[in-house]
Amino acid sequence: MTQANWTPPQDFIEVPSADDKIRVWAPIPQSELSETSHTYNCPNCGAPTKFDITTSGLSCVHCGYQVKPDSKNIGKAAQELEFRTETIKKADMSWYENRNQVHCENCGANLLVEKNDVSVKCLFCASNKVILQKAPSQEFYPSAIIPFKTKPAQVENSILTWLEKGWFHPKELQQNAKINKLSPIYIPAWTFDTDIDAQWKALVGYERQKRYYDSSSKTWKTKTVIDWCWEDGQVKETIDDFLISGSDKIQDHLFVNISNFNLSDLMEFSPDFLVGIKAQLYSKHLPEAWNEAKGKLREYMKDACYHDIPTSHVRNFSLVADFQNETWRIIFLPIYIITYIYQQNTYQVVVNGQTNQLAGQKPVDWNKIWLAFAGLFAPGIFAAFISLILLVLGTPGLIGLLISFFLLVIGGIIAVSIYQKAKASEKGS
Amino acid sequence: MKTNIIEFLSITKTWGCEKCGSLYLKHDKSSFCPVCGDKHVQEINTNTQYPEIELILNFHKNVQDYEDKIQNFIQPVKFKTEQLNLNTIKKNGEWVFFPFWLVDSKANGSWKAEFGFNYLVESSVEHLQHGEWISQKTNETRIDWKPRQGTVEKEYSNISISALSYYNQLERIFGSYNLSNDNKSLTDYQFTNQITLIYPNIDKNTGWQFAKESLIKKINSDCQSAAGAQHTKTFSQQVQFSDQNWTLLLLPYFVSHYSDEAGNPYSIWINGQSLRIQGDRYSSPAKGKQFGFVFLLISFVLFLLFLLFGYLSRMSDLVAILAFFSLLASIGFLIGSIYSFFYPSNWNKKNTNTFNKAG
Repeated sequence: MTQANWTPPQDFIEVPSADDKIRVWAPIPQSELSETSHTYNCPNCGAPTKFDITTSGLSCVHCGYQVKPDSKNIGKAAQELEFRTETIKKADMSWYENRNQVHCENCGANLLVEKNDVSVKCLFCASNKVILQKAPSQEFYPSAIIPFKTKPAQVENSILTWLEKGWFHPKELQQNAKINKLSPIYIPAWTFDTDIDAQWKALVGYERQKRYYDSSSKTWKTKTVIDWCWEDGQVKETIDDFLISGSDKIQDHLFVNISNFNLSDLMEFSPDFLVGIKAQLYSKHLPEAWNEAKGKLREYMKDACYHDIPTSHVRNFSLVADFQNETWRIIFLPIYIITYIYQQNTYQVVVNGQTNQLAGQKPVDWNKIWLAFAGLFAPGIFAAFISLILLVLGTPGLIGLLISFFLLVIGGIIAVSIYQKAKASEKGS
Repeated sequence: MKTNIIEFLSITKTWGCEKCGSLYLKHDKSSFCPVCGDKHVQEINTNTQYPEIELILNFHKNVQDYEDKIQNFIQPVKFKTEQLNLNTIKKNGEWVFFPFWLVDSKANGSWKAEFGFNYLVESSVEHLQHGEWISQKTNETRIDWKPRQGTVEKEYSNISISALSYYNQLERIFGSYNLSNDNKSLTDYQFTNQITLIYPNIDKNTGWQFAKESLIKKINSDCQSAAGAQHTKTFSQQVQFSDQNWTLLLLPYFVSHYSDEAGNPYSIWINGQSLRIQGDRYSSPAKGKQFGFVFLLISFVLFLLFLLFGYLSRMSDLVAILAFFSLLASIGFLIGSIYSFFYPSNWNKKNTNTFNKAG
């Protein structure tokens, strides 16, 4: 076959060649095959469709037409990528450059879209349009998604139950946290895999009982001494799907509290899931997320190495953790989110859209806390007061003083516990 | 006497080697095969025409350089056989040309491959020391295998193909030639009586199979480079080759021969371009034995002196010292004697039979 009668395969595209006498064709990159936007209208009545969490499918609000999303379950097999140097360079580029304007294919209107919104509704014709905005490269495109499993009604109940809990919150809190503000949103998250080989070395101390002669008391006594010796060891760990939030909209400690996602439910990413549901692009870039993950994993390995040492006496601890076979991917996770303002402070409640686990901040009515403190310390103070009077009157009051001291200690312990709970609740738990 | 190639071919005789089967043209009587160094050569009456020669890669011209190479080459040999000296090697030396094909061809067709592209992966090693974490970045090169297809329409020039079936043996002895060298011209070359010319034993038809293999390898390499890849896993092509042009090139080497005491032949080869030297360096066992016996005798005499001085050592301390040194010298000469007996055979195992070892 000569050059003249050879035709390249259909899914190949000519690429630059370093030799003008040789022409080169390569497979068409996936990113150039995918469309950048989809419009979702009902094939029956033409009304806009949207993703219905209760039926886990696309449905028409007008005629009830329903269809399942064009996707399949891929679970933990969702594609993972390596830390290529070129990828890391690309990761430093902005996700969302030149992607503010979207053209509605239904009515022709040009829409200005919030930078981080992936899915929007046309303000003029109410057409649902999902913009698959182009990332700097294909690898930064979400490869998988966990669809919503928990229904809004379930989430409402959970939030109501959660808001009712705790006596030290303001009474008007339940009225402010209106359930109609509940917003389902897909947030981006990075998952990381790595093998870590950690070698540690430390001066480890072992306690030993030693008998010695005490010349002052002229008796044999026993004391504890510590024998120090250098020891080393190795700990190997395989980390699978370590989750780091890609969103700066959700506070990290809240995300950690609801991050018990079951990744075996991961579906191949399809824009169908985003119809009518907000989705956010990542605002935490790959290097930043990986550094955060590495920071946590280093401490995890440090604890694992310490766990290997059979004593609590450790000095000059050093550790070398070799990270190998690192991979990453970006996925969408389902979250329900409420933010509300109370006394000029913003509080956030987030619910795992898959497992219904909840975490959030609740304002604290500190007046109630101080009243509780007063109630806790009152018996001790009262008992002490009575005991002192009895002592002044010459009657035995020493036992009463001891009881009052005991009551004050108990009250103090309970007060500290309440204070910690209140602070944690305010911060979010 | 200097002649041009046509005259040279007409006045030379054809000789053949019984051992390696090579045929060659030589003006004078031939006593050794210029290829394998064997003595069993004879004149052959043949009608075989030497193919048309187009190019010659000339000899390195400075004869002193050859002499220096030979001198340095034979210098480390102990108990050299009588003929292993510069004068004999110079006297028996032959300036030999052997043939080499250069092929030009056009290639036109399509190709399909799986190429490997290098990429760097970033990793890290985290160090905790004195309570502080230090991150050390590391890079690892990995290969990404990707399919590629395409076309080629290119002219290839000077694909070099050996015209001798035993060329690999020669190449192992005196190395390869730099054919990009511009010093290739036949027009002004003057052949002398000392020149030996080896006949090709691979013709164009047989040579084309080798040429095609080389061309496909070259196309593979060019396609890989054109695609910006660094590795090839699979490569297939449907390429048609046309407009082949064959050129016979002569490449130079110097060969010389010498014999041991029993008349067995040995050879030394020098690449006529790079002056790489290789060959047999024969150490004479007979000479080794001679030295060995002399040393043994001296050792025995010294031992007797040791016994004598030992007996007389009661007379003075000086005699005792002489006895001690006699014993030391006796042992030294005994070791020298053993060395002289065994050195030649050990040396010859490693430094002779070069042609057969290269096969």
